[in-house]
Amino acid sequence: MPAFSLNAYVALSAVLFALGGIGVLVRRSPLAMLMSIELMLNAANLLFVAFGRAHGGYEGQIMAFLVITVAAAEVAIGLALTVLLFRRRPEADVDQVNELRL
Amino acid sequence: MPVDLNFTIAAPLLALAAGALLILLLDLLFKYETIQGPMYVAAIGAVLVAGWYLVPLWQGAADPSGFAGMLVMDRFAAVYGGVLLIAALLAILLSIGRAREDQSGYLALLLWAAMGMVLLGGAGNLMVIFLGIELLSLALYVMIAFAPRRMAAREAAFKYFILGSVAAAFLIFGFALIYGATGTMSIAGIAEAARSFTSEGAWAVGLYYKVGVGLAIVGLAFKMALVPFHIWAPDVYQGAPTPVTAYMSIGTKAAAFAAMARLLVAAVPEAYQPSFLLPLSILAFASMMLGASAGIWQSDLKRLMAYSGIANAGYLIMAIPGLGLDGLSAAAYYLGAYGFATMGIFAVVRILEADGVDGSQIANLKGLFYRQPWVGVCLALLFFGLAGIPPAGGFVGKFLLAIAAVRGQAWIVLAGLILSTGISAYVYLKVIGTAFTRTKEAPQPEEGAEPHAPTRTAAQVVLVIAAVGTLVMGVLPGPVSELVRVALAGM
Repeated sequence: MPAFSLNAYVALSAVLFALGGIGVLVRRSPLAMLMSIELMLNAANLLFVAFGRAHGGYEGQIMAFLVITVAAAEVAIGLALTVLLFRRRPEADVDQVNELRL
Repeated sequence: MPVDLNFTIAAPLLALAAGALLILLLDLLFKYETIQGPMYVAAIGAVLVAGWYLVPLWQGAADPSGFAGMLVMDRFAAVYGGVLLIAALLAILLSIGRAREDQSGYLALLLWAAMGMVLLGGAGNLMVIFLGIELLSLALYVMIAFAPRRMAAREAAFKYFILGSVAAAFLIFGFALIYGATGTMSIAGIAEAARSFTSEGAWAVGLYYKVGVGLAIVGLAFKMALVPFHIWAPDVYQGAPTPVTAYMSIGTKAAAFAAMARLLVAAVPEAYQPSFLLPLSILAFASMMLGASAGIWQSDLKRLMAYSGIANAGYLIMAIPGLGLDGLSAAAYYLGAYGFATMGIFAVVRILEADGVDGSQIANLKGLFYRQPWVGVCLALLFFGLAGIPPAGGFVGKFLLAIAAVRGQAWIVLAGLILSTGISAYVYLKVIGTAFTRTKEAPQPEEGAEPHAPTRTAAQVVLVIAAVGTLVMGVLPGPVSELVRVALAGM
């Protein structure tokens, strides 16, 4: 197995994190936004596991599991809110949700 | 390795969690009509029991740290926990008389959110900060949507959810980088590592560390609604049911500030405070100015309170530059004063809502003083508190914060305080003026809304508590601030 330097892992997770952030900004479907948020969280998970390996402790891996668990709860709530908001609409597009404005 | 259980310090948290479970159980075992009152009693009881367990921690527990350093319920945590529990108590009182729906779920979520907030004050590890933030956020996302047939509430919940999740992602990405740079997740360990960077002259290498702390601050600043992470605040404040708005305006702010203070005290070595905290001061300045001036154009009281909350988040940051005892005790005092004022103003909104009137329209406040004189007087007192005019508590709070900022030589935030206080005084006095304008027509109730007496009584109780609290903090600042100072001196 080729050994990558730690910086390579950091760069990869930074790219994943940025992709997730861009996804939240540009995608108009609530489901795609949820997936993009998952991507951001998983980028952080990758970083935790990589650093955990580098430091030789278990803390990073424990944190990764914690984040996965919490992310599952978050998605459950996110999907519930999505259903609540878009059930009566013909299509799920966040641009049409504009009742509250300046 | 022995399991390090310390139930003395975890007792307030356990009391809140147990209260939430008890309420869910009551709902399961008894008929809905008979159990509604007891559920509220149980919720208030849980908060009071948590407060009871907090008292010995306030006096200083023999061993404030437990669970292998994960939880540090020292006096700092006790002071902020006290503020948060008062907010939770008043929010429960304000919730009385909500529309007939799932009361048990709502109250349980409220208690769990309170648990997350108190947990943030006592976090001894980055994992616990993350857990606390998520516990309070996930509960609040659901509570905001808790309004039947109101699309605005659902929209507010969805917006808050998306932006809040992104903020949480920033927070843990920052934590991951901090972990990578220091090799530990414990806040005490991070403090040690941050000091060793400087002594070896390796500070310049710590790019991961600097970016990590920056991202973590972004995540927490979002929860506090600091500019430019404030976009969600006006929409969510307006859309959420009034009791939830009142609860989150003070609760999330206090909790996120406590976590930020804990993280920054550990993560920023004294020698690097000026350069590290300059960006934060600029954010604080921007928050104060935007929060104060955007209020001028608001016709909705809840939105106005959101902008006021943004400005107040900026004021709280004034405590950060010195990062000393002065600042943190001033911030705790200010949070108390701000909390009472906010809770009271939302209680006035609730009193109007009890008559079926849309209380968040500032136009509906017109002539309030002539219809309900003492409600009008209390409203004026509470807005004086927000503006920082004596004899209300906000004046003393701002004064203490200004002293802390001078000691910390934070001139930017001090200038912001003076400028924005002037602007916001105009905004608040305009609202008071509306309430004291004579008018013949009473505001029209919304269609299908009926007066609800218990709601009005409960909201009036909250209003009285808030007004008395504001007045005591303004007239007798010595004892209260001394209490906070003494409590924090042992940190």
